[in-house]
Amino acid sequence: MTNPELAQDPASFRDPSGHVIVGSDAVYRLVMPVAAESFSRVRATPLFSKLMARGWLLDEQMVSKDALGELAKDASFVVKHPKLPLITYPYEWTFAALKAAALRHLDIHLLALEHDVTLSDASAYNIQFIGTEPVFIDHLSFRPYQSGEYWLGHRQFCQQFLNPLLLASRVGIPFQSWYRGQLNGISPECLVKVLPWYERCRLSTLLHVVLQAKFTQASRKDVKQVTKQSQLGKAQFIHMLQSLHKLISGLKPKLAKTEWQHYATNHNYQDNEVIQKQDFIQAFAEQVKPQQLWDIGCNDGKFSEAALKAGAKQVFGFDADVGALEYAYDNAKNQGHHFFPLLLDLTNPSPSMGWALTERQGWLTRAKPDAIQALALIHHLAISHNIPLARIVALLVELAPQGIIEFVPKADPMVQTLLALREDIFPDYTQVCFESYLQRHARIVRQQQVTESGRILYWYQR
Amino acid sequence: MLSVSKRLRWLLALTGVVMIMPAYGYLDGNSGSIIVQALLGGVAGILAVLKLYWHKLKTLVLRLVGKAPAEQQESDTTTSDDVKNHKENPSNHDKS
Repeated sequence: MTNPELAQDPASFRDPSGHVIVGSDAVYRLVMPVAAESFSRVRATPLFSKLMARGWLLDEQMVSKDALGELAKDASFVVKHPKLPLITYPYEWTFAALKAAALRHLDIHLLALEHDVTLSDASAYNIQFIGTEPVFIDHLSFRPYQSGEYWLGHRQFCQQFLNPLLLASRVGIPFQSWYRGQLNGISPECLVKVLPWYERCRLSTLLHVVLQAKFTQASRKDVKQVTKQSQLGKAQFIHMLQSLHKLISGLKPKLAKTEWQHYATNHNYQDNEVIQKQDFIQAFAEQVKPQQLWDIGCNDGKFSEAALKAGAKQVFGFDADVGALEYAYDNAKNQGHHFFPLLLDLTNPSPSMGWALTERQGWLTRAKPDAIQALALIHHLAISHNIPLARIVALLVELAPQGIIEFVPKADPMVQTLLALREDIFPDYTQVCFESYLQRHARIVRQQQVTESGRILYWYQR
Repeated sequence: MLSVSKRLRWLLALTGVVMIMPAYGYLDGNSGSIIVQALLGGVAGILAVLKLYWHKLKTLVLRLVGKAPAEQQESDTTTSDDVKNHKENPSNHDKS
């Protein structure tokens, strides 16, 4: 019998060596006969246990095929992994997160080569985050290293890690929108067109971007001739990975100053109003103890931190401001918080993409948190983006069965600023209307005014 | 292994060679990656790549000194004839 809760991951179909089956609390990897010998040889080395001990590789455990019934009938082995609460994509990550993922990928490959194992690809989608720590999730990417072989994942590594980082670091364009539009990442042929001439002259960019883009015009026959006449020695392979590691380690985002980037330094968290807000959040988190809380409009993550301290197990933060998110990621990493900030424009969230629109899942359908908090958010959506208040409330309440939503009245200085240069076409943007919209979908458990301007926090329960 | 400065000199020379490369059809994204790795791989790889484009370099030099016969001059534009010619007479391309 097949467990009805088990289903093949719609993103797992490109590699014939295995498939991923998703269950309610675990993920199973089917190793097909074509990859059985290679997988066994890799598993016979101490590599996996070393990687798992360092937290670089998602835990794995060989289980009986019976656990999956019919689904596993053609497989040679079944490997069980813990299920991650939320799959995220590189076009949602911060610069620092993509950089950490790139360095982790290279570190893993270098350790693998010590055991005569290599990686068959270099997909950024094979990295996920636990808190702020990048973890490799595709155990079937490992295969025995053959002496003299070329790094087949080099172009993919450049497209999915190096080039987006160079774009943000050397050109000053955030990589996320471009990456989201091109699932395979940013090609050297495109990047070379936007790199300034002095950047193209650096040895690293000359090699991995300029020359790679130029030599793409070489025919397959010519390439075959080159590989026949020369091999890539293991020492050179390792040197190439090490030099990429050194290059990426030195990259920093060259981003324009953003609106909320200096929120933390400009904001006094000792303010009585802020303390009241934190107390409300803590009371909510202490009682609900959410396994997965989404902080929509997380900014620098300070209020996520309050929820974590009070009992939330892990928090995913979402914001549209890359500057604030970079700060939030660095802060969470330094403090060791189980918090991961992601780029999200709520007026245009990540869509479903890829083959049959099932390969990369849209933000709304990907996971369901058990609680949300949306602080100082709805006035931006309603006043700056003309999203009707009723629709904002409906969407937020739909996300999770319980949560906190902050209502910011028109009398608030921030709303006054937003209204300063435009006509007030929002007659229903009032506390009374907000409460009635909220009560269409949920019960108000508790409410509390937290500022003199009249901001109110609402704790709702569906 | 070559020192960084020596490698840089090789690369700058190669960049010049690349500028005169003809474009072929049926592009494979990995071609660029493999050739870059061959260059990084050491002397054998660099020689293999140079050999590939040697006749192009020779033609360019001869053209510059005004000794290139008209029939040796090749177009840098991609046409179906270029691809066809390259596929049907690969030996032309292999001569160095």
